[in-house]
Amino acid sequence: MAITKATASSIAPAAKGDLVVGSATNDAAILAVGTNDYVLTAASGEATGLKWAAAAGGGWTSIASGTLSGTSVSMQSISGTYYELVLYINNPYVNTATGLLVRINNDSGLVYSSNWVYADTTAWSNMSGKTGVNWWIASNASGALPTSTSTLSGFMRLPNYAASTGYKVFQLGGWGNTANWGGGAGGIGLSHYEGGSGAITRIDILTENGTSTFSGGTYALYGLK
Amino acid sequence: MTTIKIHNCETGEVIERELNEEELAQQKIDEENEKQNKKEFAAKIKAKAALLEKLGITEEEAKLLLS
Repeated sequence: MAITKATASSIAPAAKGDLVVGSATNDAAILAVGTNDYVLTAASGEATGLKWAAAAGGGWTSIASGTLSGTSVSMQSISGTYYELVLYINNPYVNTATGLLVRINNDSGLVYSSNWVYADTTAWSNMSGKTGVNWWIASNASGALPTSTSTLSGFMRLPNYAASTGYKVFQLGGWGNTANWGGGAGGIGLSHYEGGSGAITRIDILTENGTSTFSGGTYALYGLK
Repeated sequence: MTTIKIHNCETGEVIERELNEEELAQQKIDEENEKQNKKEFAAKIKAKAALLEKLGITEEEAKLLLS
């Protein structure tokens, strides 16, 4: 049977966006429009078998964020449900100049290698057999963090972090800042961790000498679904 | 005061506490490692400068040769 405007109006006279849906055999009901940007989802527990709900999954989810303080910040119990993680550090500075390390699963063995091209160099700088991922957010040529507030920042990408086998490889970016480099110089890096084959569930951000403390800066960890 | 900030990503709970014995021991190891790294870095810089002097060229000239 063709449904005319008059027929449709007789069974669905309600508001804009309403849907006429089957609620049982030979029975129909009105499902009112949902919240803006919600999507229609099957829901057997509902009288109409449908409901409006926020779209699930997709995009980046904030996992942890805060201010850097103490000698280290330890992000623990990281869920393995994401495709990859990305860690941002912004404006970090310390009370005594030292480098920045990232340690995986609290493993302090000589199981990390990092390679960087930074400042005005053209060759890869190789830092192998270290106790953490060396991260180039520096205020001098030896890779030390600044001792006063700055605009330096960096990111670390951790793809395939939840894999239960194989080494983990990371992509890094950072910014250094000294007068020698005309006020600033970027760096790109690759690093890998070969300490264990399990999923990464813990990431520590720490001062390289272990005794310097963070005076400021922020961290943010996101997961991609 | 040496402290660690622990962020539980599952619950969102954040605590900051003083380092325990195990962490303090690791801190000493990290401190020694950094000293060693600094020594190695300084030695590398010194060796580079000595080589440039031996070759009679500046760092910029060496970069030109390698570019």
